[in-house]
Amino acid sequence: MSVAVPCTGIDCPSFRVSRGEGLDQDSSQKVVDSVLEVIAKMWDSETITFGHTLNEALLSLLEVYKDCSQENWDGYGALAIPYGAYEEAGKLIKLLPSSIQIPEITAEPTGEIGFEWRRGKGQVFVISVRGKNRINYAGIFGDNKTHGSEYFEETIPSEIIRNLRRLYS
Amino acid sequence: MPPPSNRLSVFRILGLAENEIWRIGYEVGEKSVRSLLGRADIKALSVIEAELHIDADDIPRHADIIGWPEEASAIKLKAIELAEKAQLRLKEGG
Repeated sequence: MSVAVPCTGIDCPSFRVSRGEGLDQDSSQKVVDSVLEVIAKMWDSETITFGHTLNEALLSLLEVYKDCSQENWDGYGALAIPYGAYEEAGKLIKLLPSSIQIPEITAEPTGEIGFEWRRGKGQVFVISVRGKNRINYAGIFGDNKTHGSEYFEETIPSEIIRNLRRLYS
Repeated sequence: MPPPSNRLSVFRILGLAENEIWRIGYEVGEKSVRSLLGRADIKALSVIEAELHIDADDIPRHADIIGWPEEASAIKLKAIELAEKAQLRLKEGG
């Protein structure tokens, strides 16, 4: 990955090439500092994956929670999304590896927050949480299918990570 | 995903014109005070292939998809299997 480093507002290093020696030490440090500044700004938005930031995902989660925190939010008797599910979903989002695309976030009629990753026809992986330290998951990978439930508290279960990597392999 | 009752409401649309199909959707939306955004069309055969059942009732053209498994993750798998076979149609101008 390459990073474009802006020169406006900072001292642009002079790229003197003298007898093949490249930049002087002071100029090199300025380049390093400006690269670090750009990276720091990127990390300020916490995670950038496929154009979606972590903050955007958390905002999307909040909207889903607000829209579906009442009983019968779908007109078919859907259970309200409890605050615990919202909290747990937020924790899960923050734990996602930066190499994994931010998922589509939905509410499920069982009162769970769902996350869906889709990579074309026949390649989909979904998980859901309800605030009970449990992740329910299911996936289709071509002719292969999987489903199950994993305990979740401090780290994303390896089975979930394995299936996400499977989707994007 | 099916609702907590495990009866997923559907309407049979075979033989209906497009505007008649959309009208059913609008009527359902009005009754539940929701806005229609789109619909998902699926063949009855796909429901049967997913080892689910179609239970018709007295409401004209209405049925429920039933026979969902007990386990939450198994329900989730069947739901995405159906979604893969369904065709999403968004409301025009929506």
